[in-house]
Amino acid sequence: MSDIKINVQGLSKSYGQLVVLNNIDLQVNSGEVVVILGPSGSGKTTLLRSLNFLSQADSGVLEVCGHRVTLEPERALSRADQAQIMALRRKTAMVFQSFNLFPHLTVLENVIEGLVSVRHVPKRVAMIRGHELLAQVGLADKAMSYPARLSGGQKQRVAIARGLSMSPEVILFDEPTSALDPELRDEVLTVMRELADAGMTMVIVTHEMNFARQAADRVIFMEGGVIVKDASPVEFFGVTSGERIQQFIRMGHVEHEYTNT
Amino acid sequence: MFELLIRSWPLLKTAIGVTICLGLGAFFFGSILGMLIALMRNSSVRLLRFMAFMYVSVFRGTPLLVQILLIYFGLPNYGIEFGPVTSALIALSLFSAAYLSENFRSGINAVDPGQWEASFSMGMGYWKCLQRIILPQALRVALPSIGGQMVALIKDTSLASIITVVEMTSVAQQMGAATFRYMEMFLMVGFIYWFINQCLTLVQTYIEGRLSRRMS
Repeated sequence: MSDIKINVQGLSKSYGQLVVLNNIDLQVNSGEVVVILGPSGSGKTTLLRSLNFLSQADSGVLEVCGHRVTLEPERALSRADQAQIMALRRKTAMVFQSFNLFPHLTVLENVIEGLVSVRHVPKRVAMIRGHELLAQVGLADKAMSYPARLSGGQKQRVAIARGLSMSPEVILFDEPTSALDPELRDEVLTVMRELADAGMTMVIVTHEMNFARQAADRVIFMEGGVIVKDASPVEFFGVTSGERIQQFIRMGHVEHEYTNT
Repeated sequence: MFELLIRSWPLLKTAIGVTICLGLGAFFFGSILGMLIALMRNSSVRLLRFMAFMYVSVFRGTPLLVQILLIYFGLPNYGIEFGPVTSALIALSLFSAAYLSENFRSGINAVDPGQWEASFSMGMGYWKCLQRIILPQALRVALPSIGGQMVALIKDTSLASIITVVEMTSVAQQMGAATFRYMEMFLMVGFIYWFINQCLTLVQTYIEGRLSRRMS
């Protein structure tokens, strides 16, 4: 088993004239926590979503958890590619900005859905695991509730438990706290920090500067579809990171204080 | 009136059965076909989309009566013959499939695309996601219009009387002709249609209540 969980080479994508990803290279090692920052429209969410093919890039080579897909413009995915995509999706999990819990299922059923319908684990066995995971994210008492009864922070914690149920090698987070009120963000960030401490490989698109500073192993700054900076948090938030990033950090800081009041 | 009911009951009894079986049978087959057409209309394959579009356009754009006559009187010209009840069942199924497919499609499209994404991201395939995640939500949204379609279908079975199917409307005509008490006969039959549909509506409301209680 290689130590590199994600290896992206020459990834490009454009919508007509607009280039969203411009020849991106990215490696993520096992156990690394990588935070992707950048202004809106910088391509960071597209990059994240192209890792598990919810968005399909135009060209480039992606290798995720040992499953390799080569994309070329004007060429449809082959059967073999499709199989690789299905396989890599089973080894990754994604947490969405809008939670995307299944509203017709209870919290517990949400958490075990993948185990039951994708992994074909017997329901009883899956339920035991489901209860464990809900306890892990602090929601043991909500197992029988429906998502509509939960707060945003609770929903996102259920979504994380749902992702964890598949024992993923990598978890992709797409602005996991952006839809939450400031006072609900911490409970989600705490769970994420615990995962990071436990050695989970995580790629996180976020605006949470403090989380990036404290929990990330690497911070990536994207703008205009390219990776402008790939550095340790100390370097990134230090004075040597360059004028543009300093400006972005200040803006983010102001924005953060603004939303807190 | 009561005595007329007793007199016509032996005929009416089977006719009610025929009406209900035709209506529910056409609803059953129409739902299966309608679901298929709804999925075709959402397909990424252009040809499938076009075929489904044409189907809906043709069967919604022509009178049900013409469709019934076409199958019963028209097809035999090409050596394809169905009995009256079968012809009516086929016509009603094809007809309702067109309407039901639109109900299904709008239900499916009303489900948040994030539901597909969450399912795909955990490695679920298209059909499994459809069956376990999308359809339970889509059908809940579409239930009132599906119920409306079912009520319409029960009423539309009366057109089968044109091709000698002995359902409720044709029994009313027969008994009316035999007794000259048309008014009472048609009122009676009209009441029975209403009663059947009222029962179906109650079932629909019950299911709706059960489904929506927990989701919101």
